Amino acid sequence: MCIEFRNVSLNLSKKSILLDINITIKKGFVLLYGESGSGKSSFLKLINMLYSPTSGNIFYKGKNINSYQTSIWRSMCMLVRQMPMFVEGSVVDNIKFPFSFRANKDKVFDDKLLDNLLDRFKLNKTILQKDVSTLSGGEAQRISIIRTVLLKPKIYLFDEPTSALDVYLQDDIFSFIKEISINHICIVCSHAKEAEKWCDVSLRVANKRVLYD
Amino acid sequence: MIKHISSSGLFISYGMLLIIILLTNKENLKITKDILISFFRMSVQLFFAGFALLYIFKIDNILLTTCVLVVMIFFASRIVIDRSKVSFKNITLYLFVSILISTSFILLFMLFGVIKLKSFDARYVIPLAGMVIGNSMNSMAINIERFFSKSKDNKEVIEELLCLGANRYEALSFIRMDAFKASLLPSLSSASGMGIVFLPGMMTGQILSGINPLESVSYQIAIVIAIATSVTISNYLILRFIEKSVLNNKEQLII
Repeated sequence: MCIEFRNVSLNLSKKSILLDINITIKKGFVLLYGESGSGKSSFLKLINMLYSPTSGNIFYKGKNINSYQTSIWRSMCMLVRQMPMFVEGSVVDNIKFPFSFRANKDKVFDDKLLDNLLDRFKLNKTILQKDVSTLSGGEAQRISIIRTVLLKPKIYLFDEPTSALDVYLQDDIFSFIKEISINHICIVCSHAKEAEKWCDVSLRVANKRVLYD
Repeated sequence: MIKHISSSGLFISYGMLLIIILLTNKENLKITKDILISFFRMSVQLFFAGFALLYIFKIDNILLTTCVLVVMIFFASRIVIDRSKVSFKNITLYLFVSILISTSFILLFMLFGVIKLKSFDARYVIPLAGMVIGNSMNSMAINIERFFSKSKDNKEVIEELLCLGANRYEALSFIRMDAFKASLLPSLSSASGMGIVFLPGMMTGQILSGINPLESVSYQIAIVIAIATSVTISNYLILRFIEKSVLNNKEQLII
């Protein structure tokens, strides 16, 4: 189970963002770090097909990810975005909404897991009935992680998952990621110092390249 | 007895434009030029249409009538684009096809199902098509303008839904719902005011030209329903077409 980049380059509006990336990512907690604007988010977006490589290909278990139907691929390989977004309604509506998508039709909503996660991320159960517009930044960030975890993807991509959280909550999130990374590829893009002590390997993004430390 | 509008009467009616120009200028809208151009265009087009219709009704040839319909639909598509100020690949084609399908369906239904004509009579086809196409045109301009502006404002939400496994149709559903509703509301709300608040154009025309009001009612009812239906069909179709201009085949944002 691995993701493999073969000669992948990415240009956005004619500007070169990533150049000739050749890298294999195996399961585990993979920290992605680098300066702002170095192309970390673009790297994640390439994996979940929000961007397509300008040249080169990305493979999963030896199969070109292009050969998947896009929404099916994204239901297997989910990106938790840096700025969580919700549709109008309550928290629980938003958590359940993705289960109505065709690509997620075989997934079963796990109430127990939900209770578990709320507990683990120090959220009160009453938050489920709250309107999403009333959530604080930190609450929204944790809810968006929970929403994705409930969908049980095979590959997790986290873009700054703890940017709105204090150090203690950061540890809660990273220790959780560490746990799921035993069976999943988890790529975490983060500026947090905390992340370094949890990750298995780290990838540095600089000068349009992505390399293992 | 029917009283026609004389040329002097027509000339005087243009005097009303002065009020529009006066008020818009007072509020600094700076649209005097646009007003003059559009009303001039309207006048020329209507006079031209009057002569053309005279000719078309006289010939009453199915091919000619069909050509006229195609031209009407083409211009309607162009006007929608001008008015909604959006542009992307194939939009004219998409609009054309949407209006063509909805209009053809409604026309055939009205002519042979409701009015029960024996042939494709130009005297019925063209005015009916005009009303149906005109209303589709107005609602589609609202529709695509709303669809694109809301898509642009909600890029982040669309991307979030994509990240959660939504396909193109699902990721844009909240935008499609909003645009669809906005495009249908005017036709629906105008239906409820009809007869009490205003008399629809067709009925007014028939009454002014001397037809018994009761006779014109059944025509008007059928036409109002036909217009609403064709507005719904054409707007539904265009929404399905323009999804592709927000999200490409790989379901990636391209706006």
